[in-house]
Amino acid sequence: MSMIEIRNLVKRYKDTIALDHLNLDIEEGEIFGLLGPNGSGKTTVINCLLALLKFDKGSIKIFGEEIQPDSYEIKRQIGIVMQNVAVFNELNVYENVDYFCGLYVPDRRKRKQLVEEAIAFTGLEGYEKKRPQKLSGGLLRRLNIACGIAHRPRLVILDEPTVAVDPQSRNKILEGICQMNRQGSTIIYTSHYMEEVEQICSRIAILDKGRCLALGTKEDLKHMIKTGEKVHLEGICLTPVQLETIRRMPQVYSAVYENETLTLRYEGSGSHLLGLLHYLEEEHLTCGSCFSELPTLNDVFLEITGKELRD
Amino acid sequence: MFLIMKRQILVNIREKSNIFWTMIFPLILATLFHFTLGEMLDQNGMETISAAYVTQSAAESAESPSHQEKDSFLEYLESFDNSWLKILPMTEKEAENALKNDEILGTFYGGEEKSLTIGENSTYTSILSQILEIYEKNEVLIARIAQDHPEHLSDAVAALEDYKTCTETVTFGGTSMDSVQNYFFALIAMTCLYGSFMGMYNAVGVQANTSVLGARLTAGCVKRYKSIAASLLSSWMISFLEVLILLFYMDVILGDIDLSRQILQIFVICAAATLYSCSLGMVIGTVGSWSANLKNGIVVAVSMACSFAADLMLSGVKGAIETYAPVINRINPGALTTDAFYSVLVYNDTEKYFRSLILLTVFALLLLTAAVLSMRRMRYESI
Repeated sequence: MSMIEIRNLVKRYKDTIALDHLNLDIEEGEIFGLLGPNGSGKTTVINCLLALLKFDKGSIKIFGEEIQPDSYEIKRQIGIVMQNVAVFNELNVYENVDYFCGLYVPDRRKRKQLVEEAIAFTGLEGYEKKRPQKLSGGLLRRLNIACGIAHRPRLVILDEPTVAVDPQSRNKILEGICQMNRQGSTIIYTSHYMEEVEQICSRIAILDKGRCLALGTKEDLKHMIKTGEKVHLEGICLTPVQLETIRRMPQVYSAVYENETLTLRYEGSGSHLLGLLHYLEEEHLTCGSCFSELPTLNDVFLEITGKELRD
Repeated sequence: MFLIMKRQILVNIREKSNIFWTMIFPLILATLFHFTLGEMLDQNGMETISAAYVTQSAAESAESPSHQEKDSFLEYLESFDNSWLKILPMTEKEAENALKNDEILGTFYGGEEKSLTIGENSTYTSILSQILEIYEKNEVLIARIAQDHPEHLSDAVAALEDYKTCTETVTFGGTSMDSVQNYFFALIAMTCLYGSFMGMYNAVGVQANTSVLGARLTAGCVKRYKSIAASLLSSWMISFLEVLILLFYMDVILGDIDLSRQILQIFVICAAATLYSCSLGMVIGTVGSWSANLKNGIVVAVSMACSFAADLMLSGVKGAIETYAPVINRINPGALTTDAFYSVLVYNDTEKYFRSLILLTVFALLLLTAAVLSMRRMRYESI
């Protein structure tokens, strides 16, 4: 039995369909990524999971039970980190974490220990007495996370926790998420940053317009698409004949030449860079730089939806 | 629940603009009123007049045919409201000393030839003279009727008693009789009304569709009724405390109002008024999913309108409303609060006090029910 079962979930906002017969199963112990552009329905799924939003059709089960607004025992085991920072500006770091932890853990001594652990876990030591206004964007996001996870929940839902965060804080946050997972928490992670999802998630669902377009491990997703390898040549001057010749090379299914930059996409597996360089040598062509890369989730998204993930 | 309340109180207290407008601003206004209107209040206000009644010596008293009259004169003097005329029976020597030391403003002498001795420069001498004059006129009148028409004596006495009743101060459906005093009462009413800010902000803070903090709280495992109760109690406690601070400031520091005699009644009416205001704020906080800033604007408009209608900005508005649309005065928490203050501190009109108290409580409970019904909603159409 899955930890979370979402069946045929439909949510409409007047004429807009936010979730269109969404089905998802999330297993205990995984870091499950919900990937999609802004407005794809990620936050709506989270709000439905937390029983905050009414939905038109479908069902959601968490820990085997239908989630209802008064499912307090289920909610007790969930930690939520909202997309927007939800902390009290009038309370300092320690008081904020203590308050949100206190909603779940009434015992003061136990709570003190949990709060200190959460502060250490998110790297907020030394900032305990500071008010949120005095924190940088990254530290504020970390505080937002500390407030959500201090009570050591079984299921942690993180809704775009790294928006507007500096790279150092982002790495710290991602490391922390993996550590929480290693300590036994199941994680649901929503983001429109494919690199993050690719880096930490064990399974990924790609959402667009409220529908789940693809679901699986990152390897599964990459195998679902035609693109095998991508080669970029920068600072190269090609004649139309040479470009046409390259286009007709084996397994090339897309060749885009713009501003002296050539981007080639190959079908299937294998490396094609050497063959291409050999052709350039024959034609006495030079280039400023060249590199090859395997498909990313952005390629997956691009191929499935026909648009960039960050559109 | 106590943890939520504790934090909510801490948050409200640390919110500087909130504390400024709901606590500091009324204190500043009270200070300004004190220096601008306080003088007028002193002129309009009436201090308790202390006067001595000099009894005759025991021997003189026993021989005197007017010994019975002396008692009736004292009885007459003592029939006046103690709050403005205090009669102190003394010997002649004691009265002279007391008058010399400005402990009393005048001395009434009983006996056959009733007389009055007054101190110099007393603003109230004419009042004391009037009191004696009225007694003597009535005495002569009664004596003449007894002599000429003894059959009408009882009618005459009844007529005199009726006259006294007719000249008692009568409140006229909430119209203020002392506009200066009413400014101070309206200021207290306004401070009570400011409880609506706390109520609104705290209601916004526990709803998922109006704030992210509300969403976090609703997504958590705190039972809904606990978060609503904590929200109401914390806002009520703070706004009530702020009103108590203002009352202390106006009574003890500035001395513009005197609460010493009816303090319990004043506390009860302030508790009811702040409950009404907090409930009103909570209702505004629960209506629609507008931003807290917009709701703040609505609360400002409502509280200012209520304060205006309770005579805070312009004297006579409440009276005009009483004449043309009295129902507004029955639902306006500002008007109800000032009415209650007047009833207690000026007229001792318990009927009007209880009417105001009951109306404030009933409306508070109605609004509270509406707020709770709206807030207990658990799932939202959109967030």
